[in-house]
Amino acid sequence: MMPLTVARRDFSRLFRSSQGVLALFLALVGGNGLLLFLLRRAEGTAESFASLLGLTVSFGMPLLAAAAASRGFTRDRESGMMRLMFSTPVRARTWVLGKAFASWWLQCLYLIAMGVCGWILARWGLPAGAELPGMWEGYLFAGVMLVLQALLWAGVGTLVSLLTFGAAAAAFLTLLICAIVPPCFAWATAAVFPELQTQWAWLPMQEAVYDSAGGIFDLRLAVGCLSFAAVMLYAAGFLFDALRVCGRER
Amino acid sequence: MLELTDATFLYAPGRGIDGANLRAVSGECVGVIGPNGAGKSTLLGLAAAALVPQSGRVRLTLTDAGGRGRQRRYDSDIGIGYRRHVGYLPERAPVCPEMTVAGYLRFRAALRGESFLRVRRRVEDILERCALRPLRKTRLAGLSFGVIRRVAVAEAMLTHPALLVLDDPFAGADLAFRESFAELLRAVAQRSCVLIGGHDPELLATCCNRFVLVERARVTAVVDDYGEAVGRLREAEARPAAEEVPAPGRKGGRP
Repeated sequence: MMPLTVARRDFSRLFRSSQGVLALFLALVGGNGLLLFLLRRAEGTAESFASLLGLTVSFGMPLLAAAAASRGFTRDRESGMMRLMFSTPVRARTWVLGKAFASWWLQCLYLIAMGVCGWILARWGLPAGAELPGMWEGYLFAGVMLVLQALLWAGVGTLVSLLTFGAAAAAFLTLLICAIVPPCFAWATAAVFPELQTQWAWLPMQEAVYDSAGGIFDLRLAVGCLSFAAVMLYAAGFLFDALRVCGRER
Repeated sequence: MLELTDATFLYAPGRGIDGANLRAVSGECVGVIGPNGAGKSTLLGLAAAALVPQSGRVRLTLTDAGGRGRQRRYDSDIGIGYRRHVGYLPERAPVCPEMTVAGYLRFRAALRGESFLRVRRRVEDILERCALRPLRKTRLAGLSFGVIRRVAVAEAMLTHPALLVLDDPFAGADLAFRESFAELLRAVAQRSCVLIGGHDPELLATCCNRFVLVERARVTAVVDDYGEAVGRLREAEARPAAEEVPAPGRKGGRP
């Protein structure tokens, strides 16, 4: 229950902060713009609405993770809260999980908001009686994949916010990692195990969501997201303890 | 009982605290004094388990309230058992500016492991004791430095800890609160061990019955007498930086 106490406070702080609200607003505006553009482009094709919506959401999530990272441990460090956190009878994993959950909730909120906006856009934009191609399984698979990816981005953001000493640096580094590491990983996997991955994807995470919405759920990527999120959170917990031992926080 | 045995934490040679020996029992209020940069905050950080000693030991020994005399020992660097019994006010008194006074205290009480039903009672009690009741619904961002510090003091005392560590608690406090706070600390010190850091021995003398002098990263003296403490502090402040300070507990220093 303790991580939820921390997460609730952090989510509330994040949601009320200018960074949190601004990032959410920008992600929503950008996401809806991109969705409209993709809808217009897909007119007359067999592309499903779930694929386009999932693709749109997957681009906005790293932005929110970056905003959360700029408020996470970085903010506590700036306000001198770290020393008090070290002396509080709370384990490192509780702090780390709490911060990660707050970031994850923000991204899930974005997912829900985009779902609502997408539904409104589709209802408003379509002629009476027309139907968008798409199955409910598509929405479900894409949703699951997005939620898992959000957890991974939350883990990355939490670790980065512990490592960096400024809000801007934390946000920038999180965005950079979210943008660069997945294609690099896909390239390395394709190079080392050509039988596993035959193609180097430029946007592997986004493509996975797109494919999931089409009914091709990439279980390996889903497990990978979960595993990497666990590794990130474990590393963040370890780092938190290390910072306490080093005593560099004032 | 709080026991620091050769506790060392050095940021750099001569900065931090080196080989500190200190023993404080329940019912005692110890003032930690010394010039700026002497290592008072580091010593208090070690006692509050916010810092882990690089060498030596910081141990808290508690006796069961049941009267059976069973003793429990907690080392500051192992687990969170030690931290459960510590209330700490750091030098910078951090708080969450977007929370209300009562909301912040409730959050901190929940983090300290208080049950849901007890949190409210604890918060109401401390709001009353620290004269914060009229401000309970005010956001911390709108409060002055002195009042924010008072909230941080209230947070440290929230769960009636066995060891209370306060780093400069009188900073920013107005005269009326200083008097009532000193009285409150005397009451707390009757059943807890209290460590207070500060620069003004006259203020500390209103509640402390022992003084620890910290000089250039070392505990150089532990005295009971206020006059002696003031004299030693003046000497320490007047001493040129290059002069050698005797090792604590080895020559001259009383652990």
